[in-house]
Amino acid sequence: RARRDTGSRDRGRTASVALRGSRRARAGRPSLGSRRALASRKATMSNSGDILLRGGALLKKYQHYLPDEEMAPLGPKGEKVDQYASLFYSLRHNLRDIQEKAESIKEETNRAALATANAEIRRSKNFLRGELPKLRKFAAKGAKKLTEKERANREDDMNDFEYQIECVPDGVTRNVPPPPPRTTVGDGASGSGARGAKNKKGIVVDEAAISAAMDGATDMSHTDESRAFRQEFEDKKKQQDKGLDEISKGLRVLRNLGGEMDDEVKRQAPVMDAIENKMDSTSAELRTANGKLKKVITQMRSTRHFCIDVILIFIILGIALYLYNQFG
Amino acid sequence: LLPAASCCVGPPRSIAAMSALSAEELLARGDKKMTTTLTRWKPDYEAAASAYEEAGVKFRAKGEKQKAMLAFEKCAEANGKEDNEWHAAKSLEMCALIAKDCGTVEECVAYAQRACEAYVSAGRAQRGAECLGKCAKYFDEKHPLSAAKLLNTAIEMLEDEDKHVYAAGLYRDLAVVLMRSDKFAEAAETMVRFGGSCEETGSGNAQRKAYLSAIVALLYDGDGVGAQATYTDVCAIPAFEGSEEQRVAYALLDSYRDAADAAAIQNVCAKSQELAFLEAPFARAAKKLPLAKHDLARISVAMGGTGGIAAVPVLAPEEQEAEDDLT
Repeated sequence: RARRDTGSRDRGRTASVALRGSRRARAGRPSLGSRRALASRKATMSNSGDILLRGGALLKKYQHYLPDEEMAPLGPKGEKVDQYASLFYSLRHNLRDIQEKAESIKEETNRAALATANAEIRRSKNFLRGELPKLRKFAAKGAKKLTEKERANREDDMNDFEYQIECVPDGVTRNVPPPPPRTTVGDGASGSGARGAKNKKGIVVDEAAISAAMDGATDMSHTDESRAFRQEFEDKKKQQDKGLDEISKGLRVLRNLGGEMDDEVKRQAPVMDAIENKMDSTSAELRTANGKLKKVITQMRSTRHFCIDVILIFIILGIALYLYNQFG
Repeated sequence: LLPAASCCVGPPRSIAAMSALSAEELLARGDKKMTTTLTRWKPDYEAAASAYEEAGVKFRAKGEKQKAMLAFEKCAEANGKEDNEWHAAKSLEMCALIAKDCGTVEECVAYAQRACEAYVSAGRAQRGAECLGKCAKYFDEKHPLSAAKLLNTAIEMLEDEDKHVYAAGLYRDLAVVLMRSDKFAEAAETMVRFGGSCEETGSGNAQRKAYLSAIVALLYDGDGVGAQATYTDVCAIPAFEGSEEQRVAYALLDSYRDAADAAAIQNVCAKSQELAFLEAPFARAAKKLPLAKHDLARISVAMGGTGGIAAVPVLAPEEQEAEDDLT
């Protein structure tokens, strides 16, 4: 994978690795080439860490061959190089990085990785666009000592560079993005209705009864009563809507909490697996150590040795008694 | 039998067994153990390391921070000579913690990086990344740029090892640090990266919130084109598609592009509760949208819209007459 850069490290990539090498010299640690150091490292060491450390050691070894691009305004031979050239050099570096990145993601099918790469390219392009005015200012400052032709060359270089920046593909279009998929409101209702059909009786419209009731009605206009009823209906409906809104807010909070818990559990699962594996290996080691210890202790205190000790003591006492009887 | 054998070599490493010597005497004893004498032809690194460690603890308890830092650094050096990288790294981490209070930021950063290197050479790169993350939190208020650098290194280390599970906290910290130091574009990029990492671990909830945060950060920066491009990139990702967060993002972008009206945008933000569930800086940014200094009409046009309801083109008088002329 290509290494990523952020804006604050756009220029200082090589510096950090060189600094690490020099700091190692200051700390006076043993050189990495030593066989002992390599041999004592565990076999499960991370590849990137290994590469970083070895890279740092190599950089330290060949430090004086490195170009001093961090030390503007001094050039490689100690002359004063102007800021225009050094800035242009670092910006070209940047542009090359994002061009490589754009090349590498052409075949990418994973959308999330594609989104990440596009975001980084866009941010780098914006950064470069922001640096261009500074470049032009430096060019204008140093233009007094140059000939007409050189000034024209500089202009061309900068315009080319600007064109190249815009050419890098970054997934930006003027098209309106597609709207999110609509979940129709009716779905929920029909779903529950279909499931509830077993329990509820079908609603039967009794036409005869309705027409009988309506025949008796002579006046269909609003009365005070019906108006009051209507008003009450609207009020209750508003209250219910407010209540439902509150419930919906609470449900959203619960949903958020549930999602967070789910994420956390998913994150802890591999950690628990790792702990379990380590515990298994540790307990196996402990078991073997205990077994060895037990074997050694039983060897020291076995009954056979004990009996031999007792018999020998009796023999020595017997000899002592005999000698005492002889001479005492 | 190996633990039994090593016990005979030197004084035990447990902190509980403190000797009666004072801190300065311990320091001197450690120095002595590191040199060769007539009777001892190789320095006794293990004894020196434990003496230094005790000295450091005692200095810290007394409050003499500089000397404590010195003692722990010497302990790390002794451990390093013995190839006990793990213990060296722990001592360096302790140095970084003390440097947070009494040293400069550069010292703290240097200690943190040395500790991380020691962890890596002990084969525990993940622990090294964790250490960098912890040290970055010590000074993320005062020196956010250095903190951001450390966090970035840590995240890269974990990503290289495919240990995305452990990087989630670091991503969030980095995004918060960047938002606080007003680097909105970089914060958005970090969130999109976080989304990519969540894809690996399968945490859909965090992924959705990450993408929404990225879009909010870009809109807060005034970059409507970037926000729309980000939405186009992520709208087809299965975890994000069809979610509440996608609806909120689309509504927000719609209001920026078609309405281009501050009131409409604020309405959308107030109605969407999802914006309040994001990380604190992003939620606050969403509440403040749109910023007064942004030119909404220009943003809308750049996004492919028409400049908003307020920007209906006013015809010149001749053109108006030509329109009205029905012959």
